[in-house]
Amino acid sequence: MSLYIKSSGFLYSLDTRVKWVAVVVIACIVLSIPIFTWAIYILLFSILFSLAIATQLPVKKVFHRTFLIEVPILLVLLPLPFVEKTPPYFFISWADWYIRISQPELLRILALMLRSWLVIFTMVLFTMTTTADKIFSSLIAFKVPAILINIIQLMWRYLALFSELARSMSAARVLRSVPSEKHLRNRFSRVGYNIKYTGSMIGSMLVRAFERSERIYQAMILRGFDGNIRTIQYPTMQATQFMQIGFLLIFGLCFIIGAYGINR
Amino acid sequence: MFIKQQLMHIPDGFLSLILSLILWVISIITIFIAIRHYTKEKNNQKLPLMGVLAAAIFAGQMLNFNVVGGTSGHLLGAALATILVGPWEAVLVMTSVVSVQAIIFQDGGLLALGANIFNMAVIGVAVSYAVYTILNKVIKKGKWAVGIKGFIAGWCSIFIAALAAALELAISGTSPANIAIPAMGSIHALIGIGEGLITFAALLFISTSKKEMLDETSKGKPVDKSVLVGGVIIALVLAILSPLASSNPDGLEKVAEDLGFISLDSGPLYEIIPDYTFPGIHDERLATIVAGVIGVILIATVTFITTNRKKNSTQEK
Repeated sequence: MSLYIKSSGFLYSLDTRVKWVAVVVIACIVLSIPIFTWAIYILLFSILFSLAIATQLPVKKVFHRTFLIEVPILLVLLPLPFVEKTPPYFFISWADWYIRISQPELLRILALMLRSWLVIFTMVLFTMTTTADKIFSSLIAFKVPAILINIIQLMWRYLALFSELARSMSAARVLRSVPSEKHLRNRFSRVGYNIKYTGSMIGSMLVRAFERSERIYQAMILRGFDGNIRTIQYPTMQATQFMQIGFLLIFGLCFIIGAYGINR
Repeated sequence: MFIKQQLMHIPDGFLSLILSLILWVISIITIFIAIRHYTKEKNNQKLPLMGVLAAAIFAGQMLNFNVVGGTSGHLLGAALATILVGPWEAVLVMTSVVSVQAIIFQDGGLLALGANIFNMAVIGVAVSYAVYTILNKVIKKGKWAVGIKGFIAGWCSIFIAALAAALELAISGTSPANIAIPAMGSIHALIGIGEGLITFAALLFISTSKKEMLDETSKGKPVDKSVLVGGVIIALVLAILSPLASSNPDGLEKVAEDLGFISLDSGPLYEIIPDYTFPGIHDERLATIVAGVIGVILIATVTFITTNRKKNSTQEK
């Protein structure tokens, strides 16, 4: 289910903990620099794009994924230039009608979109080059509670199963449940009908989840589970990894200082 | 096109760094309290249950239902998780769901994950728990009782969480409060109906096919007062703060003003609290808060009287 692509290359060779630090550093750079620092955005994008190329990732897929995620974000921001009263304006007129678009607001939205897109791009590179299991287990190194990691890992293990169940239930509904004439004629009745069956399917999935959890628990007891959560000991970091993290932190700091310098 | 709760998954770049960090701290504290509750309870069976339930809720979010005009909606699940496993466990379940969505599927930002956990796993759970617990006192019996309580809890969890997200966007300066709050509020008031109806149908299905699932959590378990009070306070603060933050008049009133037919408004027969402001208090903001508090007290009194009457009539029988 994850975006992971099995391959080899520069990004694959990095330790997961170092990649986590890199993602956080880039997110911090993007969030802490002045909003209209276009030069820094372009520089960051160039670096990320070069990394994607160097790792031989399918660039088209990377872009497709990142733009797909941007659509709902765009929908949220889209009305702002039309309602904001910040001059100067663009005017689009047709007959007696005209639309007023605030120019500074349009630029601000572009910058906001670019900021979120850069972080999404970084996250996509991260998930494409790291398996989900590695991502979750590396959280131990950041002192995330073992219980939470266990819940997430259990969830991940059964997600494929329940997703398949959801898909097969949806297919069965389409194939077997035919709405009555009343539901087809009346729009509200049809919505009610759809919601009722979706709710029942979710209810059924939850019942199955409860039953399955009982079986998992029995299996855990048989394998010696006594309530104590044990986690694998994550290998200690080597000098190279410390150096990589140090480099990333300096890189981040330089970018932030540089951004404020440009904006002066 | 989808009417998705994705609107509530705030991406990176939309919230200020300071606010993101503050909400991270609040979320981490809440998660630690939830873990402490879990370890104190010593119910080992809950660990696999929380994991599998999180997977089921995540998969349940993939089931879209058609609404109208090619739009569709899907479940968020905070209310369902709260009703089925209790508030603290639901916080952990929802945290897992929201985290995996952000980390693996990029649905919501990484630095904004604290805010998303706060909105969906903390506020969503606390509000739905408070509403469900209060309604448990009022609606006790009836074929549809569990569904109705679930519907209201589901709607409130979505609506209040959306108000929180809108306020966060406004505080960060991404979108002005007078745009973000009405927009997010109105869209999520509609999405909340879908969430409520799915919760209603799912709970009715569970109550008919495996009733003990609901009995295990609702009966014999003391009410968690801290979550109850927290949920009520969050709901009140957000419900009162939001109209204050959004200084523009109501949408319909504004349209009426713009088109010049507001003078045709005949007004109500009587007004207890005109325009949500309290007579005699000249500061408009203070007056709105007082009016809000009085409204809440009125509703609480009515609920209390109804509950006591029901209790008395049951005892007499």
